[in-house]
Amino acid sequence: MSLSTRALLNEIGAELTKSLRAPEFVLPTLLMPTTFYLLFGVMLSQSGGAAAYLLATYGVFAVMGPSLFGFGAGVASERERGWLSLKRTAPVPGYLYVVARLAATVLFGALALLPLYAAAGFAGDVTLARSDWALLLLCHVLAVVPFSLLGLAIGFTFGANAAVAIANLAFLGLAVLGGLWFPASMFPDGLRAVGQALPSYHLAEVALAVVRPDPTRKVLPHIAIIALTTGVLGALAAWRWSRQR
Amino acid sequence: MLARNLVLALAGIIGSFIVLILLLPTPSDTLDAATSLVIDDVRYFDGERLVGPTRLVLAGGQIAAIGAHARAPAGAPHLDGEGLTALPGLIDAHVHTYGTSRRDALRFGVTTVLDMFTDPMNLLGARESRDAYGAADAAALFSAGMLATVEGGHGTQFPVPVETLQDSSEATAWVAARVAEGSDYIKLVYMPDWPGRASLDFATASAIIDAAHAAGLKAVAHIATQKDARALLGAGIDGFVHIFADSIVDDEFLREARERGVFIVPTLAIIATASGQSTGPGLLEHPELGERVDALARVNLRQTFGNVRSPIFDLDKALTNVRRLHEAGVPILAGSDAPNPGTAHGISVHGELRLLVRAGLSPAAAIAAATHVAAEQFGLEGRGRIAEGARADLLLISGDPLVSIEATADIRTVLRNGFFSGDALPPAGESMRLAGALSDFDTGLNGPSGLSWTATSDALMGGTSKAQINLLDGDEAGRGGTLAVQATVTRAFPYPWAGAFLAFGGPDQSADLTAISAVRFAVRGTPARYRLMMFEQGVRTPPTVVFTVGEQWREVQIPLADFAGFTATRFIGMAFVSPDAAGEYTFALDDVQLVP
Repeated sequence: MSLSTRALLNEIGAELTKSLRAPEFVLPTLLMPTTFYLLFGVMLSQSGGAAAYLLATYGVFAVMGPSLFGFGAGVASERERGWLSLKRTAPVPGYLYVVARLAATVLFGALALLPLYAAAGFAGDVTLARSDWALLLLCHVLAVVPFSLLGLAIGFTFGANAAVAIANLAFLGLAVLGGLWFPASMFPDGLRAVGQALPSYHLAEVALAVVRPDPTRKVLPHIAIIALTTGVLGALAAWRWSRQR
Repeated sequence: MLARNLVLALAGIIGSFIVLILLLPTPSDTLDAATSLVIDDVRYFDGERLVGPTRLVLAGGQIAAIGAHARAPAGAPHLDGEGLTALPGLIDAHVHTYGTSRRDALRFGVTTVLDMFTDPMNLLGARESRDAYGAADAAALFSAGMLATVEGGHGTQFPVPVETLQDSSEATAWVAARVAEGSDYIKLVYMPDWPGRASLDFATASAIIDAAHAAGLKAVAHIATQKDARALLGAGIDGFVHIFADSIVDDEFLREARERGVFIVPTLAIIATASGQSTGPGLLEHPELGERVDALARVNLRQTFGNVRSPIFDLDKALTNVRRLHEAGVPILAGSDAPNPGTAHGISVHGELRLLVRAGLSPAAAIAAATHVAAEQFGLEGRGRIAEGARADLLLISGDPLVSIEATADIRTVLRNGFFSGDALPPAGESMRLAGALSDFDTGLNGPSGLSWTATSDALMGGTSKAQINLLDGDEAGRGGTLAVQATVTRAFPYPWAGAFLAFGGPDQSADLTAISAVRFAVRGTPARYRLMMFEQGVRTPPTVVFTVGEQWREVQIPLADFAGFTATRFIGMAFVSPDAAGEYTFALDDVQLVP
């Protein structure tokens, strides 16, 4: 194992250990999406379709929490405490820090998805072909990337207290306006237009395409918009990172 | 230490997901064996090539799963598909439905028909039956319903009342009436240069296209020349339901057609007939097709347009045009235009596939033209593809249709919604003879010939006479079932009529009665002098013979020679109608026959 691989793994391990030692972060992040899902998708659901629909959208919601808060607020407070400066003096490349955080967030997001998928399949009677279950999971896990980059940009830009508030705003805005809690079609035109500009909306559309295949619905434009948004957020995060020196 | 723990944690998370995904429910867990069929070791057409052999699991009217290891519901019947090829149920993108035509279509693997003009009454219930997923004995119907034409224009020569248009101001209301009737798209006739027939003018045709689009429907057109087609391209037409055969398609047309995304249903079979090269008789020689075809279809397939040749129907030009349009990327759809001369429902799609290959399409492209291309162009969800979640409409053949397109005719079985359709069909073969009993009313209104009886009255033309027909199945005077007609004649129309009409086929379908000498039938009713009218294609005033009816049953035989001006070559139907005198009449018919 090369030195930098070991350093990366150690870094990821440290991130996970740190997160797991903060139950006030772990419990809501891991359990809230599933609890919401059981409430709205299973118990209060009027139609059979809600369980599948909400699985697609709550899956996006589930990875948003760790991505925005783990990265957003987390980076800001570490930066304020001088941890980042310390890191920079350590004999490992600086980007490892970011890659490790991203990897840890992917794992954490996956942990949040486990109970959600179990609830959908066993309590919500959602049936999908095996390949579609796997595809949906891939789609949800990859959703970590754009949200993490957004979180990172917030964390590098604002102070610890402000970052928490802004991450919260982003979290709620992306979830509600992006149609993750209710279908975006229920909103008035103006709000809907705002929602359709958000990456959460397009990620949900891609997930919905897996759950409810519809040949008239085009997936590629959504994927293109997500790729573009991810690129922009990546550039923004990189720029804010470069301003740390 | 951390690194090792991390690898363990990672393995744990990935492992949990693998276990979870294997445990999560899939659709095949909930399949019902009663509506299921498993086809093992079958090759299937995926839209481009043959794949497999593999397993197709059909359940609840849909293709539930595809794959050698797809889970089959316990207790479901299995069909050994070894050596067989599954094609998506064929889509005939140009027909005129009538009577038993949708059942005939299904017998040849055509599971969906796109009708391009029929009596809107035929659309009743069509949506419900095509959306259902249960066993079905007829092809699913999508239809334009009424067609847009002018008084005396193409389409008005058939015995279907046509709501014609006069000018563009009527377009919106006309289209709204079609929407109300249940039309799935709008068809218009545009051939301003056609000699001897009136046509919609360009402004009206454009207004109809715009009104169709405003109503959310596609608009398709019957045209005759490249010039007609070019004009409609500019007006935003979505597709042409014939290919022009007057001239070779030019590069500008190709470019504009591709850019505008229009599709073409060439109907090469009818152009072949019009140019004296009918492919109908050849289809009858195929053992499998020949066995499935009935007598009326046989007549149709052998029928020609006589020796009349028009320079605008040049089969070679039509074939070249199809090849050039296909190469330019314009979607080509297979349509038979059955039941026109030289064609018949179902069987002629197999002939059209051969013509498309002759035009230069690959066999795969030809099959696509009769399946998913048609489904995509007309937005028919769940049809035209063999894929999980698609409707379980399948045609199972032996042989490889990508090597020889003629293999599509080697039909082993047809499945509609996953059910064997063959079991529900009447035995194929000589089920109807043109000489002999047409209707004895003992096995239903339309048995044994399958011809269609309807009430008819001058209300079609704006009169106020009324007619109603009923099947009486009581055994009266040893006659078994009879046809009862109740008619009320009023004098609101100059030539009043009310009675029963026996249609010999669709708007474009006719029969040759030259071998027939007389019509014979049994009748009783309100005593008076009644009339028998014989309808021929292209003849607007039917020749009529008067016969007397009394209280008691009697046999009436009328020689065809008594019908002045009747040529017997383009027979489309006959009407038994009550006297012109105002009043209420009831009469009953039985044992209607054609005497050789």
